[in-house]
Amino acid sequence: MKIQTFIIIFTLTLIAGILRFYDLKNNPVSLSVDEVSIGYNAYSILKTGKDEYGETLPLTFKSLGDYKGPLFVYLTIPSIAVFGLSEFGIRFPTAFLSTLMIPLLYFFLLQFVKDKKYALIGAVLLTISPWHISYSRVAHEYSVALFLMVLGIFFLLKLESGKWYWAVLASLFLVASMYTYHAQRLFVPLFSTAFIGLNLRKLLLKKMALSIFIVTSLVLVIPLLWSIIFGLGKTRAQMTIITNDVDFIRYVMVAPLQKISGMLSYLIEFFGSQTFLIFFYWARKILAYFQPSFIFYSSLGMTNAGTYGLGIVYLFELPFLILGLITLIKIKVVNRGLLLAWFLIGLLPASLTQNEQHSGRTIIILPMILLVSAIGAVSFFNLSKKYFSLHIRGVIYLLFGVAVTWNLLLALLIFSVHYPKEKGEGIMEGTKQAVEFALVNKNNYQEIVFDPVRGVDGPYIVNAPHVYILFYAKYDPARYQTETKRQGENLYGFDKFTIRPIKWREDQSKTDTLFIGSPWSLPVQDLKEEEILHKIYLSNGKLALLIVSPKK
Amino acid sequence: MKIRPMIFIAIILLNSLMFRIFIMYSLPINKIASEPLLFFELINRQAIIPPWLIIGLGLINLLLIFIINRRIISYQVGIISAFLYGISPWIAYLEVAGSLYIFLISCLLIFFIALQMSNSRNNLSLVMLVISSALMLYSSLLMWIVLPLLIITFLKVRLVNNKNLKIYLLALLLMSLPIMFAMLKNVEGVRNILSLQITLFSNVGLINSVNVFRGEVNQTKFAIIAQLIENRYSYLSEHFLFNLLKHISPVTYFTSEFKMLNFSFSPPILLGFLLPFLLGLKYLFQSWGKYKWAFIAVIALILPSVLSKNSPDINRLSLVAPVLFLFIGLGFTELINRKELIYKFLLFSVLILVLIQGLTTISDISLRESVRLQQHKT
Repeated sequence: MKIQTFIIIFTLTLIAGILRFYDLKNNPVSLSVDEVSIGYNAYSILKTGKDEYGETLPLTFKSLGDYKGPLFVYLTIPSIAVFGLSEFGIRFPTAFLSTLMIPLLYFFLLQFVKDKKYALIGAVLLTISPWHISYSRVAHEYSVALFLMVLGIFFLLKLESGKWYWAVLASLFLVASMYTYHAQRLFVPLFSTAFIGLNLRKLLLKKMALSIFIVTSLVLVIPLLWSIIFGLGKTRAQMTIITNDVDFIRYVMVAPLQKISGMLSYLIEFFGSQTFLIFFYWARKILAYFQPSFIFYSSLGMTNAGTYGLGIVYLFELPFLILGLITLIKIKVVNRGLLLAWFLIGLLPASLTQNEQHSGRTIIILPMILLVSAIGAVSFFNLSKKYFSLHIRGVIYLLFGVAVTWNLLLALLIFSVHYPKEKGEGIMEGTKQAVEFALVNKNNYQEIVFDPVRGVDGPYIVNAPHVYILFYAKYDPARYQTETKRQGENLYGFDKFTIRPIKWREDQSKTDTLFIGSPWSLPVQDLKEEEILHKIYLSNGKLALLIVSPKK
Repeated sequence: MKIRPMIFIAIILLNSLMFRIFIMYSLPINKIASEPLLFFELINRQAIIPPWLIIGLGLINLLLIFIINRRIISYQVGIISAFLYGISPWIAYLEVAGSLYIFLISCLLIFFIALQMSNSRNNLSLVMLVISSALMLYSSLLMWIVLPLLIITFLKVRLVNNKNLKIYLLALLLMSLPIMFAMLKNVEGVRNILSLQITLFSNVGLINSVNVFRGEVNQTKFAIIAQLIENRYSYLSEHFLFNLLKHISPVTYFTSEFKMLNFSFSPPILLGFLLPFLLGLKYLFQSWGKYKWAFIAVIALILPSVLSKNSPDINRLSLVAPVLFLFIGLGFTELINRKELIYKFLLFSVLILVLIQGLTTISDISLRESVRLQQHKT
């Protein structure tokens, strides 16, 4: 690698690191329920070798009933050991690996398309990618699984050399990505098959390397398969499968059906059955990923619905994407077929799940989006050199520069200001402060009651305060695993902490109890001034939680 | 015309009519998409085109599409695009619902045929041009935006010559005098109709969100930057651009993402035709010089939908349907004519997918569409 290229990649990595690490503790403004759960389970494994439920080194973490993949939790353990059970400690692995993704992507694209220009521009675009930055700053499996997967495919591309160690490394990292996140469990086998199919002639000349790859992958994946077939591994898929989609059930499979009779009724009922309808509903979901809303302004969910926030790419990349697609159609770029396969297979896992388009589940296709953009960027500059004079080119580049600056500044405003203010509640902002207050004053009360439901506009957000308590109290995992929990309808408790709905009319006589809830369960007008011990506000200034203790 | 094409056309017409009768029988959507004609609205009378006439015009549109595409591309493309028009749920639903836009499609098709004939000094073509243009102007205020754009486009690509243009414009001006007089007499009415038709920038939620954004940022160190970056002009520009982009997304046309008549699960165009559409698009891009007018015309034709608050408006978007069917017809012809095995496989897959979705759509209409309509009404 030339010294200039090294300097560029190093600089990009540095910039990426700043964008991903700066104020990591405070932005996003709160740890989400998933982050806290991952952090505490990692802490529990570190201390006891068991998860919060007492399972020894599980292959699937029950967590909050969403059955997470194991590897990300295990990868968080060293970080917690070094930095402690804290915001930084649990977000560090994601931010770190996401920063390393910059040089990885450069080398990967160089290997994939054998063109240095595309690789460099791809690395630049990844450095500032809103999609990648937003998922690099949260402790979630998406970007870590992406890193491992890209690394695995990088080694897979080297399989043509016939060296056995590339085969082993490819299997190792590809299978590791499957242990990290669910989407990779579908993507990796299908993509690997597509890769082998598209390169069969070349790979058959290196039969040993190919065989080592296949055998190693199969061996490494056996525990995962076991977990899926006989264990809890399939539960997540069963929960999120598209046939459970509320929109599909209520709008597509409406009831009661019209009554039809006659000779053709059997045929009509056959073709009008769920099997066929779900296929076209699924096709609609896949094509919806090509909506401008998903691509340019709402998929990252950083601002409220109906506003123009951030999508998976910046608006200034629009001409790059169009030119990139046209170039790919016109010119035979290296591994063009594989690019298409990656793209189509990458959309599959997310499209088979319920709910709207999910940018986290589709981050698998990020490298290919960046590649198309990079190809388009090169075309853009080549075409402008070919068709326009120097002066006109100058004007075009100036206008383009203004568009880029505008877009980046908008992203800065969204990340720094609007996201915390508009979405803080959605990631349980305020729960930390509430828990810390409860922990400081724990000895003054017989019981501390958390209402799990909150929300400024209405009691529609369901929290999981118990994991925040475990996290911020650094609650002894061994004790938590073995102690008797209080469980009932809408009730869960351990130690002095009880998570249940607050009914103020009945609860206002309990003077030895601390209550923590939203104004919906603790109406301010029904409270005496001296009973309100603390008010917790969101970043947007709205009242989120009240901490109250009844007085005689 | 030879016997065989006539038989094909007759079969397509019959098929089309049967499909519309089936929808009429299954769904009570008679007149739900009817709109009053502009001229009568301005003189304070309400007049709509009767649905039976709309369906009749629809059958004529089918013939016109065949004639036009046969002339400009080939017989095969003509037959396929006519067939597509006949079986497309999009057009069938709108015809049964009495949509004004079916009538406007008829006017546009006659306009285009007349344009093709106009270069050969044909008086009939001039009459057709003037009448079709006048009918559009008398029917919808939106056509006062679309028609000039189309004329400029066709002038630029020399589909019409300057001499004929002068006569055409003069004749159109004379024919439009009554409606222009009605507009001048009822300026308030024009303003009201305009505000109801062009609602893109009347999205109160959007302006509110700009204000909310400014409020959030004003307390921070980014206040000055925000004044430059986040203002109503940049947001409205984004709004327009994103609205435009929705109209070039395949999900709009090949799925029920934006429900027809606000309730239907039937797609405007069957999904199986997506691949021929993309192939047709590729072919037209490669022959850019010859067919660039089609792309530019598409931008003019999608404008009414872009300018709607509920964009994409599937009803208004039907104006662009004949062009889409042309693209699909081209792509289909490519699939049929290419000898490579991969193209044969793709053709087979397309046919199977179209057949299955066709049967599924018909079954779904029988079983569920009127239930969805009821749910939508309640």
